[in-house]
Amino acid sequence: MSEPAPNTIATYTLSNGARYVRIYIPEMDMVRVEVNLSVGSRDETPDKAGYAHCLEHFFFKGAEGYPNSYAIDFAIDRVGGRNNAYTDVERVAFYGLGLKKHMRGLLRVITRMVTRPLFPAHEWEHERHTVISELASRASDPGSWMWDALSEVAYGGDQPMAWNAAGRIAVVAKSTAADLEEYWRDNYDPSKMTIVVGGGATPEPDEVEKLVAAMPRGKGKTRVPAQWGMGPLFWGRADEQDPARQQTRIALALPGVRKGTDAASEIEELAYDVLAEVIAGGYSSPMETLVRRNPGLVSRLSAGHSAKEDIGMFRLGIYTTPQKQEQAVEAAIGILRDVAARPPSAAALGRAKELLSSGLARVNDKKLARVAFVADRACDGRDLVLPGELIQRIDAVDGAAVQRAAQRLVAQLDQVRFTFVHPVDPKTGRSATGQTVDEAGAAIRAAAITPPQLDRSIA
Amino acid sequence: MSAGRRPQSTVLANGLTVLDASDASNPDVETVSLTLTMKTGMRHLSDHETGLLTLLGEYFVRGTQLTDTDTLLTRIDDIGAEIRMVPSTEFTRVVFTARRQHASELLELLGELVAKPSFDAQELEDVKVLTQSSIYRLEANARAWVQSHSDEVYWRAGTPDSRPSYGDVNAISNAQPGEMAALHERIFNPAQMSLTVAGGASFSEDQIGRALGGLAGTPLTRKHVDPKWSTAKPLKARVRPISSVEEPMVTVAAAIPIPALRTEAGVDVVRSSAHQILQGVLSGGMSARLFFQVRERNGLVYHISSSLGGRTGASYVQIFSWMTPPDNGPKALALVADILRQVAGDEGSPGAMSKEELAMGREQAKAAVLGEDSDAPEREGPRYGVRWASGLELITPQEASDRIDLAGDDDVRAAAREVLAGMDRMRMIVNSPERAVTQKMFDALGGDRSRGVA
Repeated sequence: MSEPAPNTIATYTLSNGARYVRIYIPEMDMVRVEVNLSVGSRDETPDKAGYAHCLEHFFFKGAEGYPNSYAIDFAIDRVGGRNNAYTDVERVAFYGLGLKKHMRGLLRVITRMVTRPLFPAHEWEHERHTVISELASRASDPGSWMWDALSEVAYGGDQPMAWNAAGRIAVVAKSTAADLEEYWRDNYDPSKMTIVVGGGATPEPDEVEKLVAAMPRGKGKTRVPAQWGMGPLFWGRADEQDPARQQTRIALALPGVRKGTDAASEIEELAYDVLAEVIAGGYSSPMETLVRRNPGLVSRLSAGHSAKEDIGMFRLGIYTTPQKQEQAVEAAIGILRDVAARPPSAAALGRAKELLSSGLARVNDKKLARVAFVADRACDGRDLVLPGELIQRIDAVDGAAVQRAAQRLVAQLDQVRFTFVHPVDPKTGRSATGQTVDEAGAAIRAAAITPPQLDRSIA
Repeated sequence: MSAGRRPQSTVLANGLTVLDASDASNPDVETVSLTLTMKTGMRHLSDHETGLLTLLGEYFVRGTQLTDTDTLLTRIDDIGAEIRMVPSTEFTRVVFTARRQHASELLELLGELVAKPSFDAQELEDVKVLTQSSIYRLEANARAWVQSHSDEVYWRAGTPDSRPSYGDVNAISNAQPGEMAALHERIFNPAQMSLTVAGGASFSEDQIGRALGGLAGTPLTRKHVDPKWSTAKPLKARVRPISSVEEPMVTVAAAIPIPALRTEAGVDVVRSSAHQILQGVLSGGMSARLFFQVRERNGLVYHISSSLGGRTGASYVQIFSWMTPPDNGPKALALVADILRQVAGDEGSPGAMSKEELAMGREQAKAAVLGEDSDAPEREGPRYGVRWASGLELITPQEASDRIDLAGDDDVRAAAREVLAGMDRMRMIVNSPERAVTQKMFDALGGDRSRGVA
């Protein structure tokens, strides 16, 4: 068996259209095996909201050669392996980790699950409940709910981007094994499949070819283009809290930029990531400084950008009190306005890039995370680079690009959408300021879109 | 560091132990990690001091005698450093990580923060507000609440082990700069402290001496108190109202005491390995008993896992789970009780551990010890630091993994019997939207009903 050059990325297109990526890291005793499918929640329809996630669970319930879930699980566990899966808006991923001597066994199980599932109906009766339990556990925590629900307001309109990648409880509750099998046949296709193996041993392409040859061909459905702002302006949730220590939490979203698939377009996308670090990263950014100097105004601020195939979302997290919520929102947006008005200083830009680069260097040093990094890029349709090369792209982002990103966000403030947790007194159903959920939402929106009138010295 | 090599240990004149696990000659390693491990944890402190230690995590970076807060924080960000202070029961760790080209500045920062602290009164007031906000958020989350308060249920009231994870909230409200300074001196006492250097840079003894050699510290004078398992009411419950849009979730943690796996005399390697294998059988993967039977076969929970917990002189097995609807709680825990009884059965008895299952548990235990990122610098430092602070040999992950084989299958069955024997002293903490279900869950796992709900 011949391995490719160490610590490089080798890619192959298999005869059925699937892609195989291998990264040989000779000093490793372990491997990561990952099978990704570019079929996520945005490939669903409203009556199937959650099917991608359900399938992710159902694949563990039996495959050819592994008649039930125990057979699948035990095949991994008995060699000290670990496996799991996750569903996102544009993908479903299955992965296994283990010693390199068990690489082929891991790969066989995981490819079988996806290409030759059994869909045992009796198993779905239990598993459906497990999926509902997962959804419920996220919904029961106000902090998780706030972020999960953000796409419902930012996109909305019952377009596939609107629902959370994990699905909707009502749809999952009605799903059957036959529904899910039909969905698999219609939507899964070798051309949407990427197999990534990285670590101390990798298989030859012809071995992988045989393992995924049975993958059926789907119907080649095209995605519904994402549209911003088809939902409500905001969505608040009343949360019964002790009146003496009420906290308001706000997740605020603005239209960002689509995913970059080559160096030039990725540098444009990275400008939004650098912007997030400029305003909210590390210890010394303006948002961190605002929190540090005014903890009674805002106890936590965060910023981040996520990009999808045709759209992006820039998010701000604001943790404050009912009394200070408008002031906190104005102050946070004010920091974004500052970058739109003038580019960050060279020092601030350098710090932001160093923070991002440091994070990538840590990914590099966790070698299995390095493999996962490449797998993510492969499934995202990005060009395949190791963390070190992405650091070079971050270096290429200049202050003008960061300012442009901020200007685009500020120009779209009237498109802002948000979810929030509104603390209420159990006896009155109102916050300490006497506001209902709707009243608080209207006040937060006005604070976000109205040009600042505050004394900015608080920042 | 090369996974097959143990770190080199030296002791500076002021008593600080330096563990060199660096791998500077490897160009593929991009980060350096500096880990300070102090032999002082929450259980060595007074109630009041535990709250101060929680504050110290944030206060630690609020300026030094040489540098004001703004300048200091900018310096940290200039090199993209991540600094984490992690107080735990028996140790306190501070981990500094940055890219290798910033190694010198990272060591300089660490030295300044530890050896030249300032204790500004206004900064302390601001840190108090932020820390209180973090605790409120933590209290609002069911899983975090269960984890933060479990020690109050497991350990005897009034002992240093029976506290919320964040310590005394009154101390957080009332802390004074002088108290923080005194605590800082006791925590960062070089004679009770190690520095592990891991990743792509190494330092001479002189360099480390310049950064930390002047540190004096003051020793802790508190008397050692053996951990004592709770004898009070065995169940603590929080009934949290839920909104109309929520599904009612139940979150539970239950702990069953077992004879100590680690004492002042050292680790009982055979029993410890046997219990780790048992954990592999119970919770090592998706085919493990708890996950497979409770979730996969019966769909009663979303999450269930078990783990070994404890401190020097006391150990327990903890079951952690969350589920909906609440009615599933008693059913799930009755099944857990059955599983614990079955695995304690003699070889060949109904439901006893099979040879294949024991082999699986063994491989899972070895893999858990080996860890998937065990040679990443930010993992190596804490791992060797904890072994040093526990008085354990500084063995590599591979050596630790190999030691699992010191336990035979009969030892694992004996470990399972130890768990079964501890069932009548089981303690449980539940977050539930319904009070009735909590007692039913306790009864289902075999608790003594006469002791009631706290």
